[in-house]
Amino acid sequence: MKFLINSLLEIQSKHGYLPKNEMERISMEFNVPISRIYSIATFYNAFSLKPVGRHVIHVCKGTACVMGGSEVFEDTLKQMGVLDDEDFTYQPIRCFGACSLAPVVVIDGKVYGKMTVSRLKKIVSKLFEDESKDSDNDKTSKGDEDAREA
Amino acid sequence: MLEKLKEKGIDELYGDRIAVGTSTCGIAAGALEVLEVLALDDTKNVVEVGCLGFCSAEPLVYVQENGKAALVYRNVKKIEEAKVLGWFYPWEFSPLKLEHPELEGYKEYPRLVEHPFYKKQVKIVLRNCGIIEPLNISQYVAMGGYYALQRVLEKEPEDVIEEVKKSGLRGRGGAGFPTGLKWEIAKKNEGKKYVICNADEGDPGAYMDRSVLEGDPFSVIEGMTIGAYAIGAELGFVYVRNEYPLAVERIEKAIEIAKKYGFLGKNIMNTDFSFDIHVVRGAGAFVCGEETALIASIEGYIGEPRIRPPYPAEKGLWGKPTVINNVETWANISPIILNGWKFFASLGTEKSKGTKVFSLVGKVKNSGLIEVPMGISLREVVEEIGMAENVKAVQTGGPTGGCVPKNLMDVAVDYEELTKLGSIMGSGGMVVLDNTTCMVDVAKYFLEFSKIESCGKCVPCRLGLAEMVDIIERITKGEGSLNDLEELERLADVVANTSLCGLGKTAPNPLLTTLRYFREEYEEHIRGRCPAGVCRALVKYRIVEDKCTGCGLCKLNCPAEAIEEVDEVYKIDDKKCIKCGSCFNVCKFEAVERL
Ligand SMILES: Cc1cc2nc3c(=O)[nH]c(=O)nc-3n(C[C@H](O)[C@H](O)[C@H](O)COP(=O)(O)O)c2cc1C
Ligand code: SF4
Ligand code: FES
Repeated sequence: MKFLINSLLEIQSKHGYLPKNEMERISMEFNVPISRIYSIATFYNAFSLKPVGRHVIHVCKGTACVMGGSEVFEDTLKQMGVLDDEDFTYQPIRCFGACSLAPVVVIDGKVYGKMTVSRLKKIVSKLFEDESKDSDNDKTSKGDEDAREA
Repeated sequence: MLEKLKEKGIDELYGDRIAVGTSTCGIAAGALEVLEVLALDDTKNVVEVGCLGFCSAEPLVYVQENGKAALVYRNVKKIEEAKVLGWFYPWEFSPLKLEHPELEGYKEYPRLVEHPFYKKQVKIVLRNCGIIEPLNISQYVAMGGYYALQRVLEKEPEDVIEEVKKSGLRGRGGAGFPTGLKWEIAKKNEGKKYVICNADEGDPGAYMDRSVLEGDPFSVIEGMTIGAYAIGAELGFVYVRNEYPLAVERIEKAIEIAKKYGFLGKNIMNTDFSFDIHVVRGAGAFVCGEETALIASIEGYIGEPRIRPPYPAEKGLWGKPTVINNVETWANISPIILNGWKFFASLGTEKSKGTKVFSLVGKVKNSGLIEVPMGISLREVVEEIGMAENVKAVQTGGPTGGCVPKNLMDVAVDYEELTKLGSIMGSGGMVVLDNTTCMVDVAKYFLEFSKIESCGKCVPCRLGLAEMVDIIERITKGEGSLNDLEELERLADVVANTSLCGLGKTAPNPLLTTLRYFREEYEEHIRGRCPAGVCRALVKYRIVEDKCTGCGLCKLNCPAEAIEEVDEVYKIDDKKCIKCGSCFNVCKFEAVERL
C-alpha cells in the first residue's frame, strides 16, 4: 500500500525539499491534481518548497523547552547570522520527545540536551569555520580539475 | 510456539547482561557514547533497551551478573565514575504474573521500587519499557506477550469487547471515550473495518507514546491485533509523528518481525484470522492528532477535521467503520485480557479506571515518564515523585490544557476532576512551573501555539485565536487595559463554544485558567510590571559593578553580543540588549540585576 504523505516525505528527506518535477511525478502516480500536492506541501510543516542548506538547525519550541528558556537560541542564531545564511536552514520544531533534557537543540541530526547559549555559539562557530574551509577546498579541488582538463 | 519463545526470552532476560537505555531521551543524554565504550569489551553481553522512565537520571545503565538482580547506574557519563541508583528484579514492575528464575538481590544498595520516583508507580503500559530489548520478540513473550492474543483467538469477538468494556478503560488520547463502547459501535456498523493507532503525539511536552513505540512496540501491535479481531478488521494503520524517526523505525521493524513469527499477517497463530498493519507518517501538523483530520491525512488530504457525527466508528477511513485509539490505550489491552477486567477496574477512581502515563517535566528534580493509578493527587505526583520545590502551578493536558495553581494541587488526577478546574487530562503532559514563570507569558505561548496549529477551516478558531494573541501580546508589552481582559474572556467564550473541533474548543483553556487563578498577574502587566521578570518589554538588566568578578560567563551567554568588558568588569549595552535574561540566569554571583 502506498500513501501520498509518506511518498512526499521520502522525497523531502531525499532532496531536503520538494522539487517541482518530483511533485508532478507524484501527482501522476497517485492520480491527484497538482493543486492538491501543493496544498499538502504548504499545509504540513515537514515539507518545504525551497532547498535546505547544508546544515540544519532545529530549536525546540515545545512547552518544556520554552519554559526552560529555549527562545534565546533563536536570538543567538539570528545574531550569528545563521538565519540569513544559505548554508544553514533554521527550523523551529515543537518537541522532540526529549523534554526532560530541556532545552533541546538539534544540529545536523545530533540532539543536544540542556543547551546553553555559550555552547550553541561554540558549535555554530565551528560549523562556520568548517564551511569556510570547505569553500576553500572547493576552490582548490575545482582548480585541480581545471588543471587536469588543461 | 509461545512456550519455546518464552524459554529463550527468560534465558536472555534473566541471564548476564549489561543494558543501556537508548531511547531518544537516552541518546540525547549521551547513551550512545556510553554504549560504544561498553561494547568494546566483547566478553560482555551488552544490549540496548528502551526508557526506564527516569529521564533526568539518563544515561541509565544496568548490570545483571552472576545470578544477581539488576543494578542500575544513573547519569553515566564516564563508566568509572558511575553512581548507583538502586537495584530491581526485571519482572517486578510488571503487573502480570511472570515465570522467572530466582535472582539474588543486593543488601548494600537501595531498591528501585522504594525510590521516590518509582514508589507510587504502577506500570501497566510501561511494563516492558527499559526491561526488554524492544525488537526481541522472545523477551516480549517472556514478559507475558502474545498470551493475551492466544487467549482472545479462542474467544468470541463479543466476549473480548465485553471484557474491555467491563474494565472501564477510557481512551488515553485525551477525550477519554470508553474504549469497549467504541469497539462495539464499530463492530455493529456494516462493512469492511479498520483499526488505527494514533501516535501523532502533538502535545509538545509529552512523549509517552514515543517511549512506548520505541521501547515496547509489540505491546501496541498485540493490542491492535486484539482490537482488530474483536471488531472484525483485517487492516490497521499506525499514524506516527515524523519528528520521531526512531519510533517509526522500531514500529516498522516490529511489524516485520511479528509477521515472521506468525503473530501478524495471514492466519495469525494458525487460526483463520488475518490482520496486517501499515505505518503512515505524520508530517508535522498538530491538528492531525484529531481523529477525523488524521484519517484525512492517511487518505492523502490536508489534515482538516470534519464535523462529527458521524464518528469514525461509524464512518471513518475511506468511509468505513474505524476504531481509532491512542498508543497508550492499545498498550493497555493485553494486560486487561491477561489479568482480567477486575484487575484493571480495581485501580483508579469510580469513573477513571487503571493508570495513566504522564510526562513530568519542567521545574522538578526527578523528571521523566511516570505511570500512576488514576486518582492520585497532583500534589503527590509533583512533590513526591517529582520532588519539586517552590511550585507555582502545574500545566496539564498539553497546549490546550490548563494551569492548576499550587493551592489546588490536592485535586485527584482523573478526567472529571481536572475538567472541573478548567484544565484537562489531555494526553498526559505535566509541566511544572515555578516562580520564574510568568503566567501571562505561558498563556501567550499556548495561544500562539494553537493559533499557528489551527487548520483554519472554521472562523472562530482561525480569527478568534489570532485576535486573542494580539491582545495578550499587547498586555505582555505593558500596553493592555482592564477592558482587554474582558474582551479576552468574551472571545474565549465564543471560540470555545463555536469551533468545529477539539482544538478550537479547548484552545482558550490556558488563557481561562490563568485568568481565573492568576488574574493579579495580568493586572500587574497592565500596570507595567512583569512579576516574574520574563516579559521582555517590561524588564531591564544591569550589571552591578561591585559584585562582578569579571568571570565573563555573562558575555559568553549573551545571544545579542550586548555585553562588553570595560576595566575588568562587564557592562550591558542597553541599545543591543534584547532583555532575554540569559546573563541574569547564568551569573553565579548575583551580579546581574533585573530592574
Ligand atoms: C487538536 C487535537 C489533537 C489531538 N491529538 C491527539 C494525539 O496526538 N494523540 C491522540 O492519541 N489523540 C489525539 N487527539 C484525540 C483524538 O481525536 C482521538 O480522540 C483519539 O485518538 C481517540 O483515541 P483514544 O480513545 O484511545 O483516546 C487529539 C484531538 C484534538 C482535537
Ligand atoms: S476548530 Fe480550529 S483546528 Fe478545528 S477545524 Fe476549526 S479551524 Fe480547524
Ligand atoms: S519540549 Fe522540547 S523536547 Fe519536548
